Amino acid sequence: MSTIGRVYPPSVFARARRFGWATTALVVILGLIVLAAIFAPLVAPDSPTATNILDTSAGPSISHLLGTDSLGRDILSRLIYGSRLSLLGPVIVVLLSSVIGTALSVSSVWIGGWYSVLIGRILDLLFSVPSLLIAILAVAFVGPGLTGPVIALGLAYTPYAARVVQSVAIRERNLAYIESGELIGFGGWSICTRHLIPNVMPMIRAQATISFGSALLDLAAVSFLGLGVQPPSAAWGLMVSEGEAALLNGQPAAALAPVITILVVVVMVNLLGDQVDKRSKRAL
Amino acid sequence: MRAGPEADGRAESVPSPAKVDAIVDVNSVSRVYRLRDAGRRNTSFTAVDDVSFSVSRGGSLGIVGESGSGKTTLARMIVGLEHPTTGSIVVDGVRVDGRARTRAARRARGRTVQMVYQDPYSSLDPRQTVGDSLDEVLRFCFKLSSGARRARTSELLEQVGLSQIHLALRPNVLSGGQQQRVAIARALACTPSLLVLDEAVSALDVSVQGQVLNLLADMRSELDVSYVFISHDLAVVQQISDEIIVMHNGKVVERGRTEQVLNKPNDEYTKRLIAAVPTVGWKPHRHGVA
Amino acid sequence: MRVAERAMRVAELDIQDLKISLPRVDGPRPILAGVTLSIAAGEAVGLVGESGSGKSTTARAVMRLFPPKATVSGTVDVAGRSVLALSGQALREFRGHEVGMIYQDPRSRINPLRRIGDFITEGMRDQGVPRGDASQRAISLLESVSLTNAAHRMNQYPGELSGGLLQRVMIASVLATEPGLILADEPTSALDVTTQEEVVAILGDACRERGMSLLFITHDLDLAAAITDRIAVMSAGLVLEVLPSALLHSELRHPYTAALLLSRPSLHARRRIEAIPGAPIAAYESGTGCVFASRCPFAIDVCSESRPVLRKIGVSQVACHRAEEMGGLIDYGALA
Repeated sequence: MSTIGRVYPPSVFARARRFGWATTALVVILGLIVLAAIFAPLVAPDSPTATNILDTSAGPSISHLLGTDSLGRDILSRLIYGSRLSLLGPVIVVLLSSVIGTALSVSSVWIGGWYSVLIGRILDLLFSVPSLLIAILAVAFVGPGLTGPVIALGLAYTPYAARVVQSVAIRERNLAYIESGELIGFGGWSICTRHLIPNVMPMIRAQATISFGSALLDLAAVSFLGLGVQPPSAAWGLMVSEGEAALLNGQPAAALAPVITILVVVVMVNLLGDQVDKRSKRAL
Repeated sequence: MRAGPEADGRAESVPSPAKVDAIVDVNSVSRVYRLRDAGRRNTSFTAVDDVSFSVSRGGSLGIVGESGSGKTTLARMIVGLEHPTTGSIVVDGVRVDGRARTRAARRARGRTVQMVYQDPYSSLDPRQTVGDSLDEVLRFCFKLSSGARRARTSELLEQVGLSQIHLALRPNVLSGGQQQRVAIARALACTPSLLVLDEAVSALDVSVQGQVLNLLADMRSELDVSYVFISHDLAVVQQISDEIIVMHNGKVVERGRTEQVLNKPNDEYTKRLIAAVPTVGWKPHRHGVA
Repeated sequence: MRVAERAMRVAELDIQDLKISLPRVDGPRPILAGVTLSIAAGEAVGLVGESGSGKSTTARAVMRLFPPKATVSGTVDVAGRSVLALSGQALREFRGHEVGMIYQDPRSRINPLRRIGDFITEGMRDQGVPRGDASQRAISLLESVSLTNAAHRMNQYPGELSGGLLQRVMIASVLATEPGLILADEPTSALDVTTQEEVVAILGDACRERGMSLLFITHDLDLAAAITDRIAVMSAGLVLEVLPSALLHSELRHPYTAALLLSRPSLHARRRIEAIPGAPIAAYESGTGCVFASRCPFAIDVCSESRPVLRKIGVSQVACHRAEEMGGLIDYGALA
């Protein structure tokens, strides 16, 4: 009997070759950044909050690889410690919006009828709200810090996830294997969780990677405005606004370093998301 | 086979209805769809028009027709995916009227009637291995230990001409014929009394089609299962069914034993269908303008 | 007269040893393993095969359409000119005016946003025919494919027509530019059998009246035999047999052709089908020997060792090591 298709090779290098060196490099670099965030105390050369009035706005040197900011704090250490909150925030936003978005769209596709119309209206409402605005409004209600903005952005990003998932879910739902599951007698919940969602997962993953970048930028903007992470904690957006003073003093490192970091991380995640998206499309 | 309300041409010898135990009993069933046409007026479309027939236990009925004849709608009503607008359908003594509402009813229905679809690939979950998809069905239908389920899975695979090697494979590495065999195994896992096959071999290559037709014929004699086989292909229906009904625009235009109907048709439409099938020495003719 | 002109020409289509392969990480993957096929001017040839046989790939190769990154060798000549050597404007003109292709699903090949009239006259207007003349020709073409109210049809959109009618429109549009060769890739596989009869009758008449050559691709041997002069049977990227259609049931020699006929159920009586074991294979799955060896009931040792070439035997061309004996081994009575 003939077989069509290939058996996936198990080894890491073969997998890397299959995914391409560019994608592997992206995954490795982003992985290192995440590790640095998790093990910040071990990786960072200095404490992020240790001020030194004698050494403010200093340029790069051996003891301070990226220099110091206007309060004499080591920029590199603040960058590394800051990555914790700066990366965690978007992760939660993406998780919230993916979970709620998937739940809403899959249930809408499965149940149909008036429920589907209702969900459609709710999503339209969420679509119409500008994400940054709602994040700032959340601060007005909850107070400064990341909690309010993260939850608000989680809700604001939900319709995007839902819309993307919905189109794939509709297509899958109409395939024979879903219907044959119904004929066997499986209930709606089992079919949706065991069959529908797993087959829609590649799309969810692709959308999540792409919206991570937007979430990072939005949260950095909130912190830049002083409404998010509060000093003396470190966060990239906050560092940019704190670096203004040093910038005007002729020492751009304090502001540039976080800006470039944000830029690089967002670009890398978008590129990775692109790869994931292409791969999921090829598999469809 | 019970004579329906329409007038059939020749008198057929019909077995006494009281003795024949019917697995499917379709009684004056119609399916009408209410639509809005392009001018936003309410209109209706009759997909199935007052159809009656029955299938005896262990029997095999072929339903033939072209696109728009209503045969697929009829099949979907028999398995309960659609409900008749008028009339009744009784399968294995239980009335079927659209989807089953309770979990218990769904389970009971699943053990009574199952469907095999035209496209083998889309009737299997692409992420599930053959073994897992069969195991899932067994776990739902029966209370068996995992060992017993494994044994039953092997038995099912053997029945459809597959083997242990296929347990760990996903549908994308199987050929069309193999995929369809898995779909058949999945449908049989719950030991249904009735199998509805909707163009189940139409998407297969000719050489593979023959294999699956042989398999279906063998299975019917080995297992206690009846068939309702929907197809547009008359030769396939001749091969697999004892009796046949011919549908055209939602109505039954002819019925009888397959060999009889396909060799000595009465109805004009049936004759036209048969005349259009390419065989040895056949030449196509133009029939008129459209 | 066009028919005589064409008859004096060289073969309308001449494919010699066409090989197409795709690059893969573990080596090139062959799709066509050396296809040889000719069609004379005004002749209709059926190309029959199962999945993976390469019949659609062959037809697309005639249009110089290859899968991306494909390696192509061999020759494909239409009316004496090499198709493989064409490019740019010459290729566009060739594809638009000298060869026409009819596909299985007309709905996906016709722009749903433009009227039928625009679709049919597009090729003609491209050739420089004035709009009024083109419309007139289009109307008469629609009538020749048995579409009533042709003038009204010209203004309709594809969505308003059924699959069968749309396929007739497709035929009309292909005839519009008066190509010498028409390629029909499973044009009726998605149609009802009564519609199929109508469409192939129309297609056959149209080609005969205009002296056009036809390559008719299908999986249905009986259908091909009914409307063509010769039949070519393909499997795994190779042509295994070519013979006159009228003699299909009496003179075939290749075991695969016989097996294909035997594995069809009969319309008139139930009988156990002599199914071919295994499944149809693609070119890259076949080994070094005959592509049918693993499934052939008549295979001997040499069959799995060396690949037989297509050679002339009687009225046919057969690629089989045992071709001479086949006449005596095949039960022709069982084939009908």
